[in-house]
Amino acid sequence: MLHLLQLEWLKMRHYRPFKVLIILYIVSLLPLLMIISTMDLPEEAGLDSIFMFPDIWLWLGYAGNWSTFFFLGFLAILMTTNEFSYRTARQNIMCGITRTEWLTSKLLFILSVSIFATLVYVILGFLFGFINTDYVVTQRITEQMYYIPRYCLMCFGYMSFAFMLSIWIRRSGLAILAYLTYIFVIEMILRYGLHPRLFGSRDGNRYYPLNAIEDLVHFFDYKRLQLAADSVQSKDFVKVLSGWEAVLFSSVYIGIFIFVSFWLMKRRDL
Amino acid sequence: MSTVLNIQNLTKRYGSLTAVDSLDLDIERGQVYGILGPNGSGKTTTLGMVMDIIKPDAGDYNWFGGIAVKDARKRIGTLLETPNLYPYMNAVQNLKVIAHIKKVSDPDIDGLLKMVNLHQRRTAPFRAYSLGMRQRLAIAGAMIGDPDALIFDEPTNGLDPEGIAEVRDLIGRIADQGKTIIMASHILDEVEKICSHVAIIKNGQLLATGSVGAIMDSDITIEISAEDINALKYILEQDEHIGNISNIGQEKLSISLDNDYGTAYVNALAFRHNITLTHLVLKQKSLETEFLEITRNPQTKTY
Repeated sequence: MLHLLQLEWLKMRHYRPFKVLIILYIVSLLPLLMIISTMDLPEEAGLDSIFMFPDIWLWLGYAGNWSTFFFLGFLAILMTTNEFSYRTARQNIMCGITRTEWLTSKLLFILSVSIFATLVYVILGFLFGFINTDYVVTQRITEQMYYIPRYCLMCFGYMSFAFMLSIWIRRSGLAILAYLTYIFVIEMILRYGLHPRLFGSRDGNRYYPLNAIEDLVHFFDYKRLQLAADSVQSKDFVKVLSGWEAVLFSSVYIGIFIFVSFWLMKRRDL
Repeated sequence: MSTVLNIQNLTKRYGSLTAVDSLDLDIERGQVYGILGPNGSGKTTTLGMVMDIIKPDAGDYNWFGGIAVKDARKRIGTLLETPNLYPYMNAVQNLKVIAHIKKVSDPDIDGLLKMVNLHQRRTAPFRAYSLGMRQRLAIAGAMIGDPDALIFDEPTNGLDPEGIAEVRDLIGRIADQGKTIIMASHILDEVEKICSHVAIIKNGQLLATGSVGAIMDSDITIEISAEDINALKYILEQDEHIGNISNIGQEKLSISLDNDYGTAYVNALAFRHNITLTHLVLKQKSLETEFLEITRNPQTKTY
């Protein structure tokens, strides 16, 4: 396992876009949080406490949701499609690792990046929290810390989806296009076009893959959301999956992404 | 001798095209084995299949008498089609990746870079290398961990004359170390100069196998002439050891002879029939003429 992780590190440590994307991920968190804080949301969303414990965990997490989707998703695509365009994937296999080991090596690295990204989230969360919370009470810090493991699962979810597309498509430009098109166009059509037609209502249209992953660290607090929904008098107002639903469905989808990646890699020529 | 690579009935189809058609091959330790064939004859596909990057549709292969394929691959250095290395890494970093995959803990990177004459440029990124330098670095990569066998696929393709000479010289030096080399090429001259054994492939089918020497002098060609060329032709046609008589212009005949018969036999034959030869020349066939003959009439021959 360690041998395979080291292999990916040897490849990535000299890869400039890797460093650039990681840095972009880190430095984009604060500006994103600032943008959220200026958004015109109902009072119930509680934007006044955005930098304080425990709300920081949700709002910083939501900022990280965007950063992860773009920068870490692109990283997963580049680190995988490069191996096909440089034809180093075939050379790696010829040098003596199996296809399974090759994929495992990449997935271990993606997992490590997810853990690192979560660590950044935790450190920044504590930093902003301690600076902005007037009376730091331990209970307030830990109150919503369940977002931390969910954040890590979210990172791994986006990256494993990007990874699967890269194994399938193999070309970086096309894979990035497919990644963006899927989340912004295809899944939207599925959720708001196809789903109501098939099932008669929008109920259950949040169980689609990328939405389930997004809802791991969702837009704003679920309980407040009910209040907000009541306040805007709209039943179609955004609903999110509950925590355990998001975790369950994301895990299943991640399992499918990984399974498809292995399935494609095992049966295709390199 | 022990077998390095044994291929049985290996087949690969791309739609209606059969790229490799029921191929059988045996490559023994220490051989410098050329796989010779025109472009698109299935050489790279064959090598890709035995290295597990292309999935065969039928058939089987085993390395080193049947050890696990992924362990076998660690003992083989491969350069298939193009040098496949990370463009943003320099020579040393690229070789370290290969050493890591092959689990070679203490690779002699400096020694290898000196061997391929890239030691001075070792910190320049791969993308800045010329094609010849890339090819040489890939050969250094193939040599990591002192492999038992090496695969070179079209190693001089696209190189300038100087690059060709360097790469051939390098392969020659590796062959002198006693390593088994499998080299695919469409260049006859290259195979003739470097290889000890050769398999000739066309349209995915094996046309001939054997040692380069045996293929080249399996049939002897003699140029012959006499005053009465028709009489000469008549007596030659009656003889069972002589085949393939053809006219060269008005004056000369070209004949091929069975393996153990030479110019003396022809001379004595003519003498017995009271014909005095005015011209008698032994033509050593080149692999090129042999190749053209073999690829023209497809029927598998073993020499």
